[in-house]
Amino acid sequence: MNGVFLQAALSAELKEADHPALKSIPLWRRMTALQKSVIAVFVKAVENDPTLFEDLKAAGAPIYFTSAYGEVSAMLRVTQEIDANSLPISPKDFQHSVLNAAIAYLCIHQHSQQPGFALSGGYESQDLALHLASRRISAGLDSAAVIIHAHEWSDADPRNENAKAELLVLSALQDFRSRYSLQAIDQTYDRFELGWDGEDAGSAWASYDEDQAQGSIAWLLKEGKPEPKRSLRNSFGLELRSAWQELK
Amino acid sequence: MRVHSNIAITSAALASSFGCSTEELRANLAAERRGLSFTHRFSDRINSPLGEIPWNDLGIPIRDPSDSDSLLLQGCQAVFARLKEKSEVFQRYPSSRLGLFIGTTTCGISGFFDVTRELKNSGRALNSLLKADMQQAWVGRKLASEFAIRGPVYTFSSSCAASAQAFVMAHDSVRMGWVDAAIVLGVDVLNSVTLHGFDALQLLDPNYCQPFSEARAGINLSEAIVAMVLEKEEDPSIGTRVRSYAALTEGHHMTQPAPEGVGMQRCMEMALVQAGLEPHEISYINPHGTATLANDAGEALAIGQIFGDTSLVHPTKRYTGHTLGASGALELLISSLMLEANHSSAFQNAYALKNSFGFGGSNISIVLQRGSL
Repeated sequence: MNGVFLQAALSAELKEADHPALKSIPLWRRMTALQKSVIAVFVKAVENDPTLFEDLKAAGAPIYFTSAYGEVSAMLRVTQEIDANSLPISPKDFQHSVLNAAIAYLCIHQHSQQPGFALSGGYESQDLALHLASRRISAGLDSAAVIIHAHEWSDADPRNENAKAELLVLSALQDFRSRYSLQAIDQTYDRFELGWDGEDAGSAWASYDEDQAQGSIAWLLKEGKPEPKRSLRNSFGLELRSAWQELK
Repeated sequence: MRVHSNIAITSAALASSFGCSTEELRANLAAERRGLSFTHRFSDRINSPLGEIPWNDLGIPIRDPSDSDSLLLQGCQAVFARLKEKSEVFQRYPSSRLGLFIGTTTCGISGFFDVTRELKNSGRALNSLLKADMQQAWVGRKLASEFAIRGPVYTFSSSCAASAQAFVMAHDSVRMGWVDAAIVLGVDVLNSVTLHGFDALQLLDPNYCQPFSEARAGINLSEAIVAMVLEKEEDPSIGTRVRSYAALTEGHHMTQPAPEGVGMQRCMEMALVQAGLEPHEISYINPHGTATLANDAGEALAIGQIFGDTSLVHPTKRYTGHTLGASGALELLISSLMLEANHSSAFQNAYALKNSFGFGGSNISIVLQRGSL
């Protein structure tokens, strides 16, 4: 089994004022907030370490894009048009309502042919992507992977769209970039089954529970770092755990 | 990715306009029967043939055609109940060693319509209205709960490549020992968003679709629910296996394939190289073949570049219509049946190529194998 190492981790909120260069990106004005946040976090990551992303591109590292609700604003515009019988609907909104639209824009912008997998996993989307990508690397099926998790929201004024995305690069290779190593990853519907019963999830583990989340998103990164011990439980009782060790 | 596995498709259950059992699929393929009709539940809005699941035959009356999620869930429950009758997979393995990998593009649409009305009537902020049943993943959660699947549950929504992606990820989950068996579910149900969306894109053929024909004029949309079991099977006479697969994103355009189908060609070539096969060793090609001008032109050029011509191509959306996120699973099953039909000896190596080329240039090519390893 291969080790799994974190090579890059960062977040970006959609604030065009913070990223003036983004406005010059082709198709930028056309994109949804969610798509813009995905491009923004990726551009930021490439700026930080262009060589890493050239290597990922050359290796054909898969990109796992995940979002709990997907393209909320585009889909709502479509359903609002249909509800109002305002036909034909906007072809652009329909295209943008597709969950993998963000990956498509990203690969067009980056001139990348990396395979993209759009995952919908509800509250646990981001943890599911982490589990899938890391298990595949651990088993030697992929040498590296990019995880992008994004969420879009709006306040009472639907014109005020906001979005945030986080990006993690995982690799089987430990090198000078490796800041954390994945120590454990597991899932259960029954914590006794995995011998977790003696552990106090409230102390060492950062715990997230969908039934108490009230719609908030359980981001993977806190201040740009993975949590050392993380436990997330969805409303069906599925519990996902991951543990990282910081490398000196 | 090269695979030389002992993992096979050991069982399948389905509901589609082209058949609701593998036996019906075989018979309809042999008879070249078309599962499309001008008479359908959206006739008042859509002037194009559609392929409808025979819901009444499944014991699922359509009370509200606009509530696609209700139909989708009931249909999946019915297909899973049939799978449970046919396959021992639910008894053979511990529930924590059983996975579910779904490909879909239409789950959660009813939830968005509910929120649309609530937004209009309540004036509340959108954030306070977001609900679990707006997520594409909701049906997977419900099925996993109802059928006691306690291993990994993943929902892929990469447009028309969704269930082909789910299939290879399910395969790999068994291969790497994450689970003992995985159920692949490709599901999409006709709904007003999809229908009006493709209508707005002017991609619907008002007549029966003609994929890979010079007279092609667009898509016929359809619906399907296809469940397949992937598990280790040492007897080489049982089941179709995955020889290899390749996936890429074209990075060219949101709706158009790269010029001359170069992205499609590269994907197929990668799959063949990974399979260790020469083009002449492929005996059957099930293309993406939507019958749109751009897709079929690019795919025909790409196939011609690799195979010399398109004589091996069997564009089955002519019969099934385009089932979108379910199309990969449905056409992998059809490819498996065609391999069986054309090569009766399980010990004769025979290979099929299945393409799924989705919106946004999400491409995947899978080489299937029948025969001894």
